[in-house]
Amino acid sequence: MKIALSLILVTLLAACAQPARVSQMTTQAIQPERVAANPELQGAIELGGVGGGEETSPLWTSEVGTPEFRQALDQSLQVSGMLAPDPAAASYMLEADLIEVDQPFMGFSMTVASTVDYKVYNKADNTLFFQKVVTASHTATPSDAFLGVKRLQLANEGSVRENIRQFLRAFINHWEQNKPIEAVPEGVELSLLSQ
Amino acid sequence: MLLRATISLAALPILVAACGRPSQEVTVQRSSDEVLSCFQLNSEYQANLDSIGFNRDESLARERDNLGSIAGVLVGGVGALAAVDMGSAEEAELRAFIARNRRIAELSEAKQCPPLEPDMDSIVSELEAAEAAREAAPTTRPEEQ
Repeated sequence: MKIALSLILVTLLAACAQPARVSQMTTQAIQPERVAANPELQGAIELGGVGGGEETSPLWTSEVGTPEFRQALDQSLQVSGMLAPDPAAASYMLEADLIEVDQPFMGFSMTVASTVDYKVYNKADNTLFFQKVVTASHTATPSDAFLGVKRLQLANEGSVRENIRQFLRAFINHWEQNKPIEAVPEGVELSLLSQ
Repeated sequence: MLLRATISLAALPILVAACGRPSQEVTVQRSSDEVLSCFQLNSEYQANLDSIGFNRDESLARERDNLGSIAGVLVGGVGALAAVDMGSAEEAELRAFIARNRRIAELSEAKQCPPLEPDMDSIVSELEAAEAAREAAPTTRPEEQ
């Protein structure tokens, strides 16, 4: 009995940790109908500096790496139709700092909470247009993955995916409430626009 | 005898549970599809192509990991099979992304948007050719080629 348990324990401990994957941190299109209704939002964002991630050591726990986080952000913006194909033509620049990934050391159900500081700058005048610190969590259970290292990886990925989703929703809301007022064409009276 | 039975019983729940990660939901048809602009359609199409690439890489990495785990059985016992990912989440997602991109191509054509490139038929052909080459690789010796 002791031998059997030892063998299983060795196996579980022997599994190598892998970093969070881009495909699993990427969101599906966020509120595409609202982006469609606002053509100025389409292709409006350039991805600037992204930081704060940690490299995964195969001998330790799964982490969220900066390159993978950056790619997931880039993919999520693109799938939502907001990533600028030409960065020079973008109206906004997004910067993201992965402040913390709060992970459990062990457990059956593993909940990871990621905290990211998002800043969106208006490129026209280099002012801060939107800033939000988003904390999002995700729980992976043994039914998702039996091995602890894999479960932690899934919890990391789900947490970051949810984080990006919450940021994109918040940004679209903020943009709709604070969107730049379009220039009034010459010859049109302001009173006509309000009708 | 008792030891063997104990090991088998202990390994059983692990084997049952070793079914890989759940696949991410990729919706092929969405209620918002009709309102998407040509820019959005092209943007999502290109992002999905990247996702297809990521999923393919993941699938190959999983196969490598599984080979390692099976080798681990020899030194670590039956319990090492727990590390074998028997799931096919990447394949399911890959098929869903292909279906989604075909849907996007239909929408794009209906809206008379500029053609989406590369077209999905050529992507699928490439994937199938790569898969066929990979399956043939272990049985083909260099001198036979």
